[in-house]
Amino acid sequence: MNINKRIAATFILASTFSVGAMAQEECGLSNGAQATGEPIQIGSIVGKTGPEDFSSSARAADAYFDCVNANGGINGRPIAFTVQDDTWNPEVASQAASKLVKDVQVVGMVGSSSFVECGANGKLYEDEGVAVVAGTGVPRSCFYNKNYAPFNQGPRSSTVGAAQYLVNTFGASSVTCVAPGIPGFGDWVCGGVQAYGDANGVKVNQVIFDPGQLDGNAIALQVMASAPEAVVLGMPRGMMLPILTAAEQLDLGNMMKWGAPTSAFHKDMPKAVGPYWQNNLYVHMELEALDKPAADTQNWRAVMAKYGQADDPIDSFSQAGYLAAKAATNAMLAIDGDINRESVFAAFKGITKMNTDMLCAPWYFGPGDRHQANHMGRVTLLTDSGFDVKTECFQTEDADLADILALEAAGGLVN
Amino acid sequence: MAKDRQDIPLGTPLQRVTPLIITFCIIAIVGPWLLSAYWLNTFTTVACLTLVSATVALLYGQLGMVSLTQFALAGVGGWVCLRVIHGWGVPFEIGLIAGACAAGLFGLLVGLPALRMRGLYLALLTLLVAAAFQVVVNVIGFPDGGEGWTGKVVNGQRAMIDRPLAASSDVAYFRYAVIWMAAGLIWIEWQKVSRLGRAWALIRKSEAAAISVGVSVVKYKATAFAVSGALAGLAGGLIAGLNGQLDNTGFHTSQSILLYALVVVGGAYHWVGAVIAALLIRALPALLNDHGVDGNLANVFFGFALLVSLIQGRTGIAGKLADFYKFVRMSRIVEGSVSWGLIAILLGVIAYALSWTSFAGAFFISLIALLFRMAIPGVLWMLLGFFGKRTQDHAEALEAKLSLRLVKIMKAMGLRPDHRLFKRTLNWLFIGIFVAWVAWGVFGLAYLSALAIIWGALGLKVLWEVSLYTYVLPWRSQIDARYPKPFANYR
Amino acid sequence: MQMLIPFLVIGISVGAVYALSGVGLVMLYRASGVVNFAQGALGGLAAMVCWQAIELGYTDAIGWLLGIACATLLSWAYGRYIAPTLSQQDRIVRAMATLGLAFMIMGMAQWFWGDDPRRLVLPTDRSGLEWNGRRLISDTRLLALGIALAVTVLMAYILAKTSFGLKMRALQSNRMLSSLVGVRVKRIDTWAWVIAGVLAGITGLFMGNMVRLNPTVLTFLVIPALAAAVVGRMTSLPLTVLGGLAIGVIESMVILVPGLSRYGSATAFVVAIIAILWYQRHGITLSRDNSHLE
Repeated sequence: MNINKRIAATFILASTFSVGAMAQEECGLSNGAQATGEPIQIGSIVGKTGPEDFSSSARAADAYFDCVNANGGINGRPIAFTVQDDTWNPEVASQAASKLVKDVQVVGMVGSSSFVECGANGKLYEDEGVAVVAGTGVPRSCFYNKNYAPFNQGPRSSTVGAAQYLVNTFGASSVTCVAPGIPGFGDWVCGGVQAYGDANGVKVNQVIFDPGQLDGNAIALQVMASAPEAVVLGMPRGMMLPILTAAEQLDLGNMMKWGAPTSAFHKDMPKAVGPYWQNNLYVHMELEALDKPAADTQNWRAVMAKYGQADDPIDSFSQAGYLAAKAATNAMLAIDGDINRESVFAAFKGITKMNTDMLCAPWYFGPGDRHQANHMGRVTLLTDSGFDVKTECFQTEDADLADILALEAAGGLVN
Repeated sequence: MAKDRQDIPLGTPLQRVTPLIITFCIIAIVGPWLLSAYWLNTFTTVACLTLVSATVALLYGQLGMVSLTQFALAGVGGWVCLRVIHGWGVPFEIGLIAGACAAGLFGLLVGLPALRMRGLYLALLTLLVAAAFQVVVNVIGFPDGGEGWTGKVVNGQRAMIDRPLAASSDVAYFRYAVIWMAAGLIWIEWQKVSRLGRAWALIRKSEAAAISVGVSVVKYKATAFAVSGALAGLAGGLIAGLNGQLDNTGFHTSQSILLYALVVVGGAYHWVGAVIAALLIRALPALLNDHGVDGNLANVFFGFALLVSLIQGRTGIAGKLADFYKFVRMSRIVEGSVSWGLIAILLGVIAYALSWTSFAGAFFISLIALLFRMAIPGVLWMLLGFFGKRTQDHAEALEAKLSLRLVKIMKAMGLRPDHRLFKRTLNWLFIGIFVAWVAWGVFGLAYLSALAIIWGALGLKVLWEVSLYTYVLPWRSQIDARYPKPFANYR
Repeated sequence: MQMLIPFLVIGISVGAVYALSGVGLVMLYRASGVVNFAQGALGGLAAMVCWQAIELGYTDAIGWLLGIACATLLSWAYGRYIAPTLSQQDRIVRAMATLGLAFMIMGMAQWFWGDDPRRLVLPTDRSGLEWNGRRLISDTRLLALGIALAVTVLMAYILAKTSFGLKMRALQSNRMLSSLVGVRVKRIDTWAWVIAGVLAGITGLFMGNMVRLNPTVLTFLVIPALAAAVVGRMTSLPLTVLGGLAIGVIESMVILVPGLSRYGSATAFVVAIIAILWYQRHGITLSRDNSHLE
């Protein structure tokens, strides 16, 4: 379907092979026996066709489940994984959800990532008792849903993390937050930076632009007009490019420090932004580096190499999808007795203290009405060939996290 | 000007709305029984969008006015509906009606400058309004239970509106939406042959003539805009009720443009066209999605279909169907429904007994196969027409040549020659492959069993024709003598 | 005032691209009576092809030429083979048919290239005019402004002074009578489509560079261009250019108004709607719409 993607993926595959550190992949029972029993239905909803392709996490989950099925399945039963495209349209998202929940009768949802699904389907999942171990959540509704737990921090926390780094490291006393005025997204993201600024004596300007805004220049000019010492771009990476281009044309990159959330953390990004921004853009990272020499990261790469498609992207979405599939698999393996929607619901909701080297802290689903287990990350510097990790893991100072932190302090979830 | 304009449709209002009522009664009753949850949800959306496309068709077909803003009007209706329900906690129907009124007013506002505007500028004006609406709704968003007049939640979970009490389940809501849609379509159909419709037809023909006989152009054009706005707004409220909320990503300008294009493809002069347009805009992408085909290819198909139907004259698919039905005799309908029904029931029972699929699934597939057997040659002929009359002639000559050769071969082999065998084989092959593909997607049926059902249905029909024809014929002429061509006036 | 100048300059350069696109629309409308909704899609295709060529290792110049050539070829093919089949229909039908073309191009491009992050870089991006020690405007934008003005002057010259332009104007006022006096309608039409294709290609490259390199986004950029053309009553080149520039400047200035900045991208539409209403109120016909004579 897509030539460039394929070329890039081949390149990545080749480089992985040349490292030669390919471990034997481990999934589920890891006994090498093909699962043959009655399949367990698992679903996933991703935004594939539309402004941006968000299918990466479901593809990773698919690869992991293939690996599980080749390694004993869930105690002998294979996982049947159905992925639906919501085409970035909430109506289609709710159609897809009724197909998965009511027709296919999935026992749970794994590895979803979508811009519209959380808002459209939250109520259905609540009514039908379906738990979602999602890959990445994007808008606010993904983090304010009773049965929806993503592996990422979301754009708000990640953008706050980037701003925090720029303030702490470069002593920036004023920050401009740029975000698209998508309802439930822009105000939410920049509201986080605003709250952080208010608490730390940093002046914050918000530039909320219309996503239909034709010209990155107008935005760059607004940034220039507010004359900040640092800028953070809270938006999907496709929208960043025109703004960065315009800022480059105004030479703003050397006048102030620029930061971006995880969405900029993508292997094609250094090439796409061009040499001007290399070593000039700080990117917050909510999951760990793509080539970290640690067990889980290497296992993910090995699974993708063996069970993934050649054009599956290797990015943080993929990591999140892998983690979601892994968490779901381990939770289902631990179920005593019948595997049905109720037992899977309880098992998913009961996930605690999941340790992985892809995250800074253990992951859990959590008992609350909203879920955001991931709130620690690192900051990297975008270079000519990739990303240089600049910091240790640090806690994101997002004011909204108070309830989550209180829950964790009560114990039992992370330690 | 254009040659394919039609005058006032014929028939009394009651005659015109009867088939509509029957069709939608059947759909409302049988639909949920046939469809899975996914398709039920999809078809509920289709029902809502049928109402929107009917308003596009109303303006285009009755008055020749192109409005590219109807989807935005649905958005206005949905917005007001959500706002009213979240704000005052009123029952769903009151929200619906408030939305419809607001959208009707808004439609009137857009339409006012259009009263003196020629076609193209109206299209541009409405396009600009739709684009501006998109910008505004992107900034303020749809209400989801928060404070202030925009009703946005800043931090917390989105609130949903409740469906009407009588229609809280998916099945009931499907019926509920179909009833609203049918009511809207029936009203439009009724008006087409009443006072309003006659005035519209006159205005479309010549505004000067209309004025000269005392028909108020301003009044009737404004009515058309207000009514189409209100119905679109109603549809917006129904969509909001289906999902409990609306999202601005669903109301992009491209949707308004696409809807117009598909109404032209479906046919703007007949209510069936509105249904076809709504099926194309939602059910076709859903089908492609089901098969894992890239959704962008649907756009390529839509563009092509729009070109074809504009070049073919503007009656669209519905117009072609109506042309066909004009010549249908009553006896054929009776015989057809009896034979189709029996065959479909038989195959449904067989498929159920062999546990290939549900009875309903096999029943439905057989019916589609039989319908296609009748329609496909005509559709292909229409498509060929896109490349010009010459291509049609070439194709015809080629087919005749191949058929003749086949007849010769058959004669040489000592078989009874059939000059239509070649055409039939092609038709059957195409129907088998295509319908089985659809069945495989929608009903999750094994490809081979689907093929067996389809070809079984076609074979049984031929068998029926061959074996019973001599007995049926006298009986048929009796019916025809009594009820001659019932749809001759119906278009 | 210090602060306003950059906004003004940027606004003018964006407006120039709208104007350029609008001029393409007006030229085609004057010659063949077709409002080309596919203008944006053709431009999007040009930008994508250009990007692909550069990606495959061709030099920039070849990439631009290939992009513009693709748009021109498609526009020519449509004008030569498909548009004539509709020549007997209303203007509205002929306009809507180009929507079909737009959907086909957009769907194909979106299917083939997808949504990866990418940028179309022009060599002029990195240099620019300095003011107060800061880069005020990049050379790309200056180039866009220059091309827009040059194209407008050229087109106005062609229309006013050449026999080709005369024939175009003849077609505009009455196609049937023109053909009676020996104007080769089809040929003039086809040339108009070629010109429209070239302009669409050039605009597409600039838009792909300045706005966003994505087929769907570029396809719907035809709407602001239409707004500029509507300000020019679909006939007047100078008014179209003025309209485009005004839209660009207002859009850019609105950003400075607190509360309104988020509605900035509605500028084009609002300006055009006001223009339509104003023309109507003052009894100025929007264009010599002779469809009733055909």
